Amino acid sequence: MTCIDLTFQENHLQTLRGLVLREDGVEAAAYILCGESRIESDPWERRARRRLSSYEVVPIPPEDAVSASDRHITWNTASFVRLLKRAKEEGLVAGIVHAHPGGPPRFSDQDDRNERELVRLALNRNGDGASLVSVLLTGAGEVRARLWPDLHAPLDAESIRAIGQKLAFYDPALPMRGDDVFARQALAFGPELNARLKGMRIGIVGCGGTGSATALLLARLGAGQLVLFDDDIVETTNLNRLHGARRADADSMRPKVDVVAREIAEMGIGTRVVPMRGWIGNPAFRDALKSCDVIFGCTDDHDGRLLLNRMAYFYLIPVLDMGLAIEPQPGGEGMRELSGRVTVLTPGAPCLLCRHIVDPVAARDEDLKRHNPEEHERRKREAYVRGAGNPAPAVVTFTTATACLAVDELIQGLTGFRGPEGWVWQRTRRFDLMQDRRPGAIQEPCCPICSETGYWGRADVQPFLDRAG
Amino acid sequence: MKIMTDVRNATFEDVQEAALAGCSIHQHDLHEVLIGNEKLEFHSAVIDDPVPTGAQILEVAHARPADEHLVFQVLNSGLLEELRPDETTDLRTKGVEKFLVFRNDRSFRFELDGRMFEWGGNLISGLTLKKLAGVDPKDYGVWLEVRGAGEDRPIADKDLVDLSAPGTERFFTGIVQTTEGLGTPVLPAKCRRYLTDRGMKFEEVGEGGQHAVILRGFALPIGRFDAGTADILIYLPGGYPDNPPDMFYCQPWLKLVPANRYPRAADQPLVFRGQPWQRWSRHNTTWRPGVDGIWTMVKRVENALLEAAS
Repeated sequence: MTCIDLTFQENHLQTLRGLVLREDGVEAAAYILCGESRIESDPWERRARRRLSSYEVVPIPPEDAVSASDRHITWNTASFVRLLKRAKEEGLVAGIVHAHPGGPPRFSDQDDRNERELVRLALNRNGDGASLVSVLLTGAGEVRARLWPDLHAPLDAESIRAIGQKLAFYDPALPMRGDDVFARQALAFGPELNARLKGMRIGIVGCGGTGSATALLLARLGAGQLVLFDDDIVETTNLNRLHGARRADADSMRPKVDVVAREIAEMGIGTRVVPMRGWIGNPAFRDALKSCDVIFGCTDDHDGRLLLNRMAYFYLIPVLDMGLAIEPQPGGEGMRELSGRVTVLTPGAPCLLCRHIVDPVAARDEDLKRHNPEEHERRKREAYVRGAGNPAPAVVTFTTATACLAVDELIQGLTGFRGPEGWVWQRTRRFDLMQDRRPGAIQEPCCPICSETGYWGRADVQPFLDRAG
Repeated sequence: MKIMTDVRNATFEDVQEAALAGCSIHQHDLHEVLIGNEKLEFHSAVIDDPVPTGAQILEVAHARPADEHLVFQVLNSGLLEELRPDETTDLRTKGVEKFLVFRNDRSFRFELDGRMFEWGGNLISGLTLKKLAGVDPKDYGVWLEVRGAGEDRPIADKDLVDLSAPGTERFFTGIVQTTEGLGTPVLPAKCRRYLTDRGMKFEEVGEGGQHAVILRGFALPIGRFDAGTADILIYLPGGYPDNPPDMFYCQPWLKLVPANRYPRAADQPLVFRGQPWQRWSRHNTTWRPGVDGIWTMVKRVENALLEAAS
């Protein structure tokens, strides 16, 4: 049984509400094109998932509207056929959106009959692989959705989200049994946050100082599903900041992901955690990444960051990327720089390339070292690639504080406890000066990732993320 | 919500094209068909009978005189079935029906990948055979089976085979290259489009976690090197096009003429697929993610070749 998820770009949802929820109360409809992410096996339930993401809203042309009242709409399907043509050519899924302005958040029998005819048309036009998305909006702000994979029966969407300045869920959260573990947290944020976190699937890329802290914080926050990615083993020099790691782990050269997973499992408070040892760009990790609702970027690997940078916009999975810069003064007195950073990556936010946080040349050299270490060594001798830097300073209070900044940003996206405006795209905290800043960025006008919208919600393409490998 | 569904209308998408075909438009009675020639080049036509005869197809195809032409229907299976002048076919099934029209008075049989085809022309090209077989013409070859001793005869895209010779010809298709990763796209969509639009022959390589593009038969500055063209190999880091490529490699090795020596910093080998490629150590100092792509590398290769030759 395949699970169906649907994620909207927030502005698409607003546009759809404007199109189909009219002030005169007359029922209306609109089209939508969705990207599709096919997951053969998610890491926690080993289940197939199909995740749809809003790619483009297509109004129905006025000439196609035939009649409408507060209880029905009739239109002819010439524009729907054009929509199907685009869906076929661009590898997208066609969808239809309508509203029950005052009605129940349930598809009616009439909806079933008419949509089945549209599915028949889609199959005739585009072949047996064609499917149809159906979205229902109500005046009360509810959203329901389903996917017709064939003529037989539609599959209800298990999860319906909208991302933008916030991370909003529209599917009814499963009621949580009154668990004592998170009772004090419910006193602060109400039971809804606990229930929502329980259902979330969160990826943590990099399990070092910031990543291990992030993972343990999320577990104690009540996140239901975590997946951990890191290729490194525990070393003695990590023990000053790697949460949960012991000297015995360093002596045994235990993988970082296994150490963090062990600590979370031993907490015994219900988080399902899956460790994945390897570099994040491993194709075997793609299903796990695509299964996430949110990803925390805790790696200092430039190449890995560039992958997450695209992931956020293609798949509508917000990435909360963090970094820590410690630069002592040359003379040894005080700090030249001591700051933690959290950057939100999501459609509408400037990306890591436009912020110049990632160095593309360093990323290329990392790629060469990973795939062709002999050639990398050779070029190093010829001074064509940069040598590895000296070990960087790291202090547990600052790595952990940076992780707290990032996890707090997740809570802000879910609850708006700092204010209803939602996310700030980037926060930095100067630990030496006790200052918080919100640095803006000028987006490159032709950045294909964060300025142009052609990648937003596109989901699966060939090659993956429209990059070489 | 109630939908007015007109399937007949839905199958006819381009009214303007019908107008160009010179037919009057009565939306409830018109059916679009595709008429093709021996090269499988199709154009759209409109017919007002949902169950036309072969003669009616020849009529809308302007194939006159009718008794000097043959018409075939392209079945869903890709096979062809002759439609005689008094024989009918039903257009009220899903999709737009395709027909092939030939000027001839008899048809010829041949076998392709184990299936029998009827063909209305004396000659058939390699490219048409690939299209009938439903394979990608770039990646697949087609051969004529030679019975007895001797190798099967390869049929190039532009080769024409005479089907009127005695006996039934037997053709088969197969993939030409068996490189691992063949068919795995490596280039981002914009880069592939650029190379295609410039008419450059290229091969995408995804092997052992490494990615590259090979520009086949790249034109060199005239008279400056001991070869007229070369294959150019460009390694692409995994994060390309966010990450910049570096260097390029040539096969065959290029020497300057008349000096008869390798250019500066172009005398080291890189082994790729068991062959030593000439490494051109040219490095870019700038790369603008979002702006730069394979077009940037092509310019840098061109400039490097011109600069070495000056």
